Amino acid sequence: MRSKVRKPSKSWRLWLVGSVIGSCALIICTRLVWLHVFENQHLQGIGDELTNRHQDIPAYRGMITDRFGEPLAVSTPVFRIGVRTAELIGTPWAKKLAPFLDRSPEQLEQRVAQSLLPYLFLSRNVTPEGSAKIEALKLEGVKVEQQFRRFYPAGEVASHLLGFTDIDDEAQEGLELSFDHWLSGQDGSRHVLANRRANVVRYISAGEEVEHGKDLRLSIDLRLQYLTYRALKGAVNRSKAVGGSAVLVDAWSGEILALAAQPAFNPNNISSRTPDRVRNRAVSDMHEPGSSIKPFTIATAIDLGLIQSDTQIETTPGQFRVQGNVISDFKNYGLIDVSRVLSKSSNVGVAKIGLMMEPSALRDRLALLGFGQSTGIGFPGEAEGSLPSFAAWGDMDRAALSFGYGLNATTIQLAQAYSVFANAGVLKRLTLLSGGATPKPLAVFKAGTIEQVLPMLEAVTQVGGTATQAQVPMYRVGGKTGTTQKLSAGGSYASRQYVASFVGIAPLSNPRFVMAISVDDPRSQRYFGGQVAAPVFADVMDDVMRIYDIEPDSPKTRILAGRIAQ
Amino acid sequence: MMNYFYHPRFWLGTTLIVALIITSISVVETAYTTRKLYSALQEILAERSRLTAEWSRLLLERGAVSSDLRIDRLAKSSLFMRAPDLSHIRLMERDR
Repeated sequence: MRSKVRKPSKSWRLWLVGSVIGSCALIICTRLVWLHVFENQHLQGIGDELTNRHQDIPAYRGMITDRFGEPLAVSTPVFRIGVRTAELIGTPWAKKLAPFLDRSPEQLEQRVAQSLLPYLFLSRNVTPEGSAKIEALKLEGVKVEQQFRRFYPAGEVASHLLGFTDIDDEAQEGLELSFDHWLSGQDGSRHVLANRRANVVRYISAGEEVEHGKDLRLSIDLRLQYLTYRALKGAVNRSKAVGGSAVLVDAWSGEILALAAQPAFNPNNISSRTPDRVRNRAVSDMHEPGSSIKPFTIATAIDLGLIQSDTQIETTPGQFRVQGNVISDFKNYGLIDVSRVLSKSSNVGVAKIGLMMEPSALRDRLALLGFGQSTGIGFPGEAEGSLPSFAAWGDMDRAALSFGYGLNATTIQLAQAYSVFANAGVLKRLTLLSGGATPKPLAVFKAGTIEQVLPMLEAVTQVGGTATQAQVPMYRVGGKTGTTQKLSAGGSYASRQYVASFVGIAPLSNPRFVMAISVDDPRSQRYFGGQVAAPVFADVMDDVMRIYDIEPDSPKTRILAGRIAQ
Repeated sequence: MMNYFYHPRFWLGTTLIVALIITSISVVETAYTTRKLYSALQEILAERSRLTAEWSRLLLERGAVSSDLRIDRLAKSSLFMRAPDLSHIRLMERDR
């Protein structure tokens, strides 16, 4: 029974039907093969062109914020209007487009007529609302593209620090450039099926995964950054100086709380970016630090056991001849102790202390303090400065180094070096990132040495010192002024060009904050560091103490009211 | 006819055919679901990107409105505020 069913029928009708169906199948197969093999590429192309779209997914550039998350640099989408010039001819595009682009139709037409490019952008800064309206016009040859534009809410205040990006959001300067790999993302793509009006009908597949940029949290405190900027700008304007820079550091963590330079630029406005304004003077301008080196000379000598804070130094007659060079003081201070040498900033006294030491002793300490090396904060264009090194040290080389000549340093290097006074002799490297990792701290001076130097630094800011204007009400502060002659282009000292500087620490009973200020070429009558730079310190530190809730430590502070219970 | 049902090959074949039909339907179903979900994902991503864009604009607006520069100026010019000088500050001793 089974074999009977399986036996094929020998009826002719079956053959007929079979051959008709078979030939139909053959025709279809032939056509399929034809289309698939011989016309495949052509047809596929037509089909894809109609429906298959490859969409780019633009990646966000990460945000830069201050230590509390306040935005400093934010990318936001803007739209640019591109036109294919050849397709515009004979259409009333200009009249329709003009109301959205803030230009007259004639201006737009002229722009296109003058351009030789086949594709040009008419505007790079159209809001999402405006772009939606333009897209709704469905103009032939007009294309709306999304791109990102970077905005800097802090404007001039943090301009040098952040740097900027160009019109294509590519990093150009500052932290934007040095942390570009972190901030910038990777554009992604996807395939979509679109209808004839280019509306996406269906998402087919993911192409490359979009990788958005990561946010960067700086150690900067925007409030202090603003105060520093304001104080520095005021000082530079008052003294009619060419420029200036200031760095405020939390020495305990090595975090830079504020970093400002003058003159500044508005990062949101391309035309204000002249090279002179864009340069971050705090990290890329170096000058001879001068007297601000003296505390290190004295600390080194104390550390080596050569002097004590009360050791008497003879500075009479206010002049000192070394290898034919005359080192002179402002006036004859007579026989003074080491503390007075510093508070009066006696070149003679410090030179004599410098000459007590082994020839390279001071140089080696200064190297440990980071002079002549990059600070490692990773800022583009950072100057390393220079520190002399001689096989045979002449007496004049040693004397000059002891009062801060012969070496070159940036403002940020000075701030970093002074952090040893706030960390009991340990050098903490600086960082621009919040909670940023810094290299292992390095002990440069003994804690006992710093204990002896701190009161000397305080004396500098008290009556009889060179920096009384650095005083902060209710707090004990210390620091050192510097007023150095600038080297002219020819290599000799320019007679009337100075760099006025001040590096200070506060509060002195428990030092934590270090601030270095340099003012380049003050042109007014007052050009001393104590007159030009020290007030910036007082101005900013007053607010730092308040904002960081530091308890007043000055013994002169009167407690007027009674006690408050906590 | 009946004895076909008792042949093991019949059941094997039938099972395979049924399985084939089920799997092909589920392939279609899965492909459809995938597309639907992918489409939904893309819409959500587009929404996210739109919200991120709006958020960034609001951030900028807040930054501009609350900038220290502006607050400083407003406090001085329209509210006539200034930092108290030393004679106006009273310090209270803290009970420890």
